[in-house]
Amino acid sequence: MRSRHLIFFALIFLEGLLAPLAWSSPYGIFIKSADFITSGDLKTLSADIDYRFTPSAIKALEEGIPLTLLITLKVRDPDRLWFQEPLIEDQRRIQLRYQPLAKSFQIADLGSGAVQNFASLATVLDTLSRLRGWKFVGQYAFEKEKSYDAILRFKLDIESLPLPLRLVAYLSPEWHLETEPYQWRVEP
Amino acid sequence: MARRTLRPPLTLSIIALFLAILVSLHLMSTATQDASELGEMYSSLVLTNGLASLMLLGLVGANIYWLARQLRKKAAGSNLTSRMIFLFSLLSLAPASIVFYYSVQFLDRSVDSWFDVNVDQAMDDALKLGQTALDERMRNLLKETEQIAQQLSTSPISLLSIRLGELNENEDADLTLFTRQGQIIGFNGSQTETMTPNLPEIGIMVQVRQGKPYIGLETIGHDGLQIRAVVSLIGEDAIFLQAIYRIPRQLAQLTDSVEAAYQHYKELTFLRRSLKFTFTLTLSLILLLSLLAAVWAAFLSIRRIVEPVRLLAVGTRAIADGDYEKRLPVKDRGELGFLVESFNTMTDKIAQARDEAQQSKWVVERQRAYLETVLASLSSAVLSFDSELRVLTANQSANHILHADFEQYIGWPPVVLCGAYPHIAELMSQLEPSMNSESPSWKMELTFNSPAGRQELFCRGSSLYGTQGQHEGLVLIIDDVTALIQAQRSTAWSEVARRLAHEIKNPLTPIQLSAERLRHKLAKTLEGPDLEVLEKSTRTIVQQVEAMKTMVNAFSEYAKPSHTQLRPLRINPLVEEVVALYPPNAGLHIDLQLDPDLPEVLGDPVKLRQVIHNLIKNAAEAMPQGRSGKMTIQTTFGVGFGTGTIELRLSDDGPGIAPDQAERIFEPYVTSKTKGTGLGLAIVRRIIEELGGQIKLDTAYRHGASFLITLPVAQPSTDVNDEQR
Repeated sequence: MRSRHLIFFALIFLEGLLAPLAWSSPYGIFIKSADFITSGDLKTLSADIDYRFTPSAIKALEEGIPLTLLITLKVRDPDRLWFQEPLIEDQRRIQLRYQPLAKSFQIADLGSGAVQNFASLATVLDTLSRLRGWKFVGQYAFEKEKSYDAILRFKLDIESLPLPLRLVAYLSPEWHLETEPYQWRVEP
Repeated sequence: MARRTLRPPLTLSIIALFLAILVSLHLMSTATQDASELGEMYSSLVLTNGLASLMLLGLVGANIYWLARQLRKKAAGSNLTSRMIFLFSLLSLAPASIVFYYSVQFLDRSVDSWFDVNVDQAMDDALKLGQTALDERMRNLLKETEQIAQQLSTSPISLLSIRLGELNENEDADLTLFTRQGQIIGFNGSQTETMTPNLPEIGIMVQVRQGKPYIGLETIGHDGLQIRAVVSLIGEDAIFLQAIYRIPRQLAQLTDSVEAAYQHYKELTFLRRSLKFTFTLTLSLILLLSLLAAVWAAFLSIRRIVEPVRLLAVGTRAIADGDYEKRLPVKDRGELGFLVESFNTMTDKIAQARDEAQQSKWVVERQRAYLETVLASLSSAVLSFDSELRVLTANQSANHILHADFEQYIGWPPVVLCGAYPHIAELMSQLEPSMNSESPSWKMELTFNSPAGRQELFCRGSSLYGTQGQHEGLVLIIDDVTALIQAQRSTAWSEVARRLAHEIKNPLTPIQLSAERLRHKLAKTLEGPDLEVLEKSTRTIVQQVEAMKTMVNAFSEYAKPSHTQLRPLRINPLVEEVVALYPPNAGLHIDLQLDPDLPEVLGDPVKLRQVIHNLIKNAAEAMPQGRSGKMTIQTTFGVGFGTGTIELRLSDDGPGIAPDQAERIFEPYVTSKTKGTGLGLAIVRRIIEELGGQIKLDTAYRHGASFLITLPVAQPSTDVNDEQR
């Protein structure tokens, strides 16, 4: 029994070590498009995202483990050096939960506290795939007639997982769900 | 001044390290608690502890590598260190491994014991119970909503909003009428939290549009529940009715509690393996970190404990190699420190004793060198013997006087020495009674027949005593007094000759004159036989007086001080000159064996000619009547003791010299011939001695008489008058 555990942990550990090198899978989070929509002086972010959660993540969600998505937006001034602070940096934390009693799924914006209920996971993902009208903070920093570089990232926040799952998640590539940084030029 | 680095005490460092590890491990342990606020730090703590483990592993590895190198170099104290480390590691590893094994077992079973099939079933049942209770309510509410929709469908659109308020009998319900586009036509309810009614999500709308009414349970806030029902109005596809019914708080709390418990249980079940892994990893990290820290601390402590022992080993090795200046630093005030201090004191004392011994040795060496110098410069032979009469020491003069190389026979029994030098055996036989007598001191004069001739020796013996007063041998001092005795005799004879010449020569002339006067006066008066008697008597007187004068002159010649003029000369031409005066028909055949490479000697050519002449003449005269004699004259380079000499040997085949005369042959009036004054050899010896040389009769020569003359070689710095060349 114990030896089985040891082998399991050893395999997980080994897998974790090799994951960054060898992992190439259809699962992940992919940003299809992203851009700012300007309405008057206000800029909002809209993006289309494709979520392909791994079976482990979906199983965990169905077993009651909430999954937290971390959405990070950074806007950089191209004139600044790479190590300098970005002009704008904002984060949103969206949590997916399963309600066993109602047999429904729930999306909670951990920043605003807004909660939305969904009858199925498909509708949850469908809703999440369309990010619309995010009024990110720090809009005053934009200068007219100046170009900026915007970077958007989505990732599953391993640190928000329950503690026992965290180490396994860190070591297992199945839990490394995140987008490549999506970068676009914001023209004036 | 010694460089001092500021370092915290070892004990303090170890305590600090263990405290740091303890805090870190405690934080990690606390973080694993379910409700801990440190949960967020768990990953960082694991990483920190993992890195700390790696660092400690590196430190331990470095220490093991250092120890292995020390062992390979066979460094002092490395064996002890390795044994102690091994023992310590074993002692700490064994119980820790046992505790770890049972902890993991316990953990495994504990986690497994949380999950039970009955509890599993109970949790499912509880949830189903809750769902059933709510399902019943939901069915009723859906029916109620459909009835309202049916009643509304008969009303015109403009009155729908009013009609909605009339039909809403449930005070906990919010009714909303909205179009396909999401436009709200009417609303009735108590909802005041939001300005606009909460419309259904797209999935619900898709279902309703397909003609399937929707009823669903939704969570509001932390513990609130609501039921959402969405139906389309009959005949009015584009208008939908949504009813949201709030579940009573008590029921909501109960169902929420069931759901929370179910969810927690499900979560735990799902995390079962991860939980075990996390706990095991935490436990392993704790064990690893503790063990590594303990081993590292053991390395530090043991190295410090072993340090004095190592220093002692280094010090002992240095002392074994003769380095008595080695001082060990005293770092510890404990028993080992005392040992190191004692070692330093011991080294001091050894160094002091060594210095004193060296001083004494130096003094002894100096004394010995002094004694050797004194003994070497002494003209007396000094020999020391042990109680078995083995030679212990002998100076150069002993070799010279006794004609033996004693250096080669130091420590050998006397038999060996006597075997090598038979002439020494004769001497030892004479000395042995006195040498064995153990008397404190004794004296003895004896004649010694050495290879070089007869020698007169004066021997003195003194016993040597050990520290206990026991007889341990003797010191024998031998003086060669041959020359002294001969000189004494020679001086005595010179004095006799001088007095004889003085006392006898003076009356001889008046006697001769008186005899001649008597003959002159009486010859005229006497005739016949008387005259004959007179003539005969006076002639006899005159002849005898002449003979006496000749004899007295010879004495005078012997006695008078000579005037020798020394100069470097070659001996061979001189010999050839003298030999040339004796032609082969003179009755003596002379064979010359002259060494052509001889250096010059220091001598007076006139006197040397006289010497050679005298000796040849002596040989010729010694030959029996009517027999032709043979003589050999040999010149060689003497390689005897002391400075270089030239040896001139004159040997004949005549009757030789009787042994009883041999001892005194060079004294006046000692002769084997019937005629002559007996002063020839005495004069020869005196001349040779005046030239600084020696003349000896070779008593070992058995075919006649053989004389050996030794003359000193002229020093190179001497101003050479090369006339003789």
